[in-house]
Amino acid sequence: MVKAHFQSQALPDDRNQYVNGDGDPNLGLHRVLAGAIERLDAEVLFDKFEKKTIGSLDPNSASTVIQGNDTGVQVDENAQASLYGSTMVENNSGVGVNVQGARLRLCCDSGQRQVLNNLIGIVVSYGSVDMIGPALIQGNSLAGIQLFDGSATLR
Amino acid sequence: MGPRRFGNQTIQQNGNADNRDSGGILGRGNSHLDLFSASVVNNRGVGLAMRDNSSARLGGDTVTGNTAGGVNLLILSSTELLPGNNITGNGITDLKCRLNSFALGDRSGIGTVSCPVEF
Repeated sequence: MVKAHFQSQALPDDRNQYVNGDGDPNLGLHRVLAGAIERLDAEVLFDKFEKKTIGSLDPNSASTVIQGNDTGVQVDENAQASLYGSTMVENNSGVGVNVQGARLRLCCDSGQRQVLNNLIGIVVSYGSVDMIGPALIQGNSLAGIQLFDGSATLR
Repeated sequence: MGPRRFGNQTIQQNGNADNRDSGGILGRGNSHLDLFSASVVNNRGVGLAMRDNSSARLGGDTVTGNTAGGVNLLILSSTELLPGNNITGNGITDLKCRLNSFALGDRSGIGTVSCPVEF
């Protein structure tokens, strides 16, 4: 499996950022385009101890879409992933966001995080997820959120 | 920045009717869930299931329309029901406990119960 690091960036006119699985191996790993569909056959990976953010708290910032992979976002051992603003993780054939011994944070009032139509929306094993503000977990065919020796706070 | 509102999470239409272990939120193996001011609605399966020594605190939540039950507790699991819940209109039972599991707290807003409860 090809894995890629993803880091959102703010550009003046970006409205939609797409990261999806269409099999072009020559594309770069940092994706910000205005109104375009970006294709990347890779999941978004947070390695051990990494801290990264997808999306932005700025209400005028782009929507980030991660779609069409096996796992959409993989967060491993002691990493901290933050999904901000209008970030969507959808149509991944496996888990939308997979947290293994790590921390996931979905925040805040700006925008709505959406995890849609994956096999399982969010899996947390030996880690935690904090969900603050609007979020929609919908249409995941096995479960919306699954915890294995993990914790979740939705508030 | 405006005032913080928080809450407003919706977990809906997850799971499938053919898999009894599917649904909205599933926790097992020493898991813990704090769920406040959220909606767990219309899932195909159970709305919320905690099992194998897991626990949940629910407050101000709406858990309705889930086909295989609202809140299921299995195998040494428990839930604390804080005020403001609406756990009604689910298939089978709104709140069910099995195998040494129990619920405690505020009974109001809970529909059908099959549970040793300490309200």
